[in-house]
Amino acid sequence: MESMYKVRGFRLTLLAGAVLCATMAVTLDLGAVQPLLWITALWLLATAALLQHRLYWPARMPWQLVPSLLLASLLTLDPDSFGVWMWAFAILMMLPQPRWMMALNVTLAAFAWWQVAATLPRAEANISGAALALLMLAGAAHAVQLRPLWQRVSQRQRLIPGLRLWSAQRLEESLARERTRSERDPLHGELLLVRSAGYRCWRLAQRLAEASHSFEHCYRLDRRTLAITLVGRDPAAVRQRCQALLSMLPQRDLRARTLPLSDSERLEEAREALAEQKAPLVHDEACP
Amino acid sequence: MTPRLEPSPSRLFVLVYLLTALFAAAQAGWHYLMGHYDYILLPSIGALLLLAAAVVRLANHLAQRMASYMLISTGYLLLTVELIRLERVADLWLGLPPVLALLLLPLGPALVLNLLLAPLWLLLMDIEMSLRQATLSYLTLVALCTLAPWEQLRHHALLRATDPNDPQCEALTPSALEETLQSELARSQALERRLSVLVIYLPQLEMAGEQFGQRLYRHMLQRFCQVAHHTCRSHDSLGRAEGNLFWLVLPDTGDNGALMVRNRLLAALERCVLAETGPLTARIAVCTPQPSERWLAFEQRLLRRGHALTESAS
Repeated sequence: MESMYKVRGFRLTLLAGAVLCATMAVTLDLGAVQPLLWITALWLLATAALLQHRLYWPARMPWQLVPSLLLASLLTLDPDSFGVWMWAFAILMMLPQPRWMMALNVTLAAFAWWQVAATLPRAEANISGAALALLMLAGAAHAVQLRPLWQRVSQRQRLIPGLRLWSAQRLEESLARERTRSERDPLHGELLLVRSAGYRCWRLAQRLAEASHSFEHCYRLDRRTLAITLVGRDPAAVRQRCQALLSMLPQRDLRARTLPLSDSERLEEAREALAEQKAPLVHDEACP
Repeated sequence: MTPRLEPSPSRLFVLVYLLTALFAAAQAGWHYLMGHYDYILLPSIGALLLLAAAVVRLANHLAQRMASYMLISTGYLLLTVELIRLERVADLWLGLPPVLALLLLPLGPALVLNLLLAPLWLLLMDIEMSLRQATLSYLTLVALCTLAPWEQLRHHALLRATDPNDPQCEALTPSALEETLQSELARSQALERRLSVLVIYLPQLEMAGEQFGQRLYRHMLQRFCQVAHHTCRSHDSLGRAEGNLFWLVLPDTGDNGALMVRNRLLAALERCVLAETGPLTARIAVCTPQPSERWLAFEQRLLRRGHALTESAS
């Protein structure tokens, strides 16, 4: 599964970067900058370790904030030896990011250039400023080109490759589908909502998706709430299935609530009720 | 990649080219004013090259790669001229070439270029740092800067792995189709409901691609998917099993219902006329799983049915 989304090359590069930063910190006599290099190496290592989970983070999370700040502080503390790295600001502009992040990058780059330029003759300083501006513009052009890709990734329907876990948007579509289906063929369907602590939610989602039958689809509604559609011949069978599924999940902090699919327009109400619910499981009865 | 993500001619990039051309021209002018007549030629050639590259980029975004190489070689040229002219070079210029390559080229070529040219830059530049420090800084910079293109590739790969829709038409990809069919089969067996699958072969599709090119091919695909979606119910799913073989999954439908859908679809396709090839034709077979038939056996049967359709004479 990993090679599917190029994790290996990325992780290898992260590790190589960390090793190189550590080597620089050890072998070169850099004084005040040394701790910063260590921090950089540690951050790279942490990113490599968390890579699997990074997939689950919203793509909007500006992880570039850390490298931008690190780079700017390196350049401020030691413009002589780290002037070489000034151009990396253009690369930081390359990834799609929120507007404020772009503005911050430009500001930091201007500040760093000002620090570096103070050590240069005037003509060279001006030329380097112009070249940096050009490169950053090229980086921004990349970001603009990649924006559709980034949007589609953050709105993707399947949240994890290979797992039957879908986005909340997809739930609306499949609820409509299921409703037209049940008009022709009366089956009893329920939506089981499961709520847990935020940090445990991804693992729970994985367990739920693995425990479910292949025709029971799981959805992630928000950071803490998951949903799964259960279909059976009669309400009793669905209740039984619901109990069986819940017993396969880790019980800590677990709150669950069912909602008949015929009442799926009450989904928002049910979610709010679930958030305040104390009992581990509540069945919402169908409205008469 | 999906068609919607094909790189479009970006105006910002053209602006970058024009500004770089201006930059090169300014450098040539500056040398002229300072009386360094020997150094005027290269920047002026560079400026002209870049103007040409900007036009190429604007006119034809497929020639993007060539324009990028033009920009990068001009950039390197300008830098080399300056390096030769100046006796002492500030450290900072060492970082420019690798970043330029990573910005303009895809990851692979950029990485190769950066590593191949590393000795050249390190030895050519008469920088103040020790060689060891310079080498380490250069390599670390290259390693850290490749993270951005890697992240991009990861996004592309993630999208490809999670997008259930075929990039060319409104149908499921083979893997998503397999998953849907598997789940419907499990559901029909668990709840004792019926299930049918239409195996659809479009004989004209290949010919359309060969004789009339990609545009008609795509158009035909899209028209077929439109017609199929109009004929079936909202909870039926259409997927592309192989190039010109489609499966239409009909849950809660028995043999008779499937035959009716088949006839409706054939009639609707008949009415859909393309100027180049006439009405759309299709060969359609109905497949219904036996009670308690395993998924693999059923899939094999579907595939065999599809191949039989492909081979049968029209």
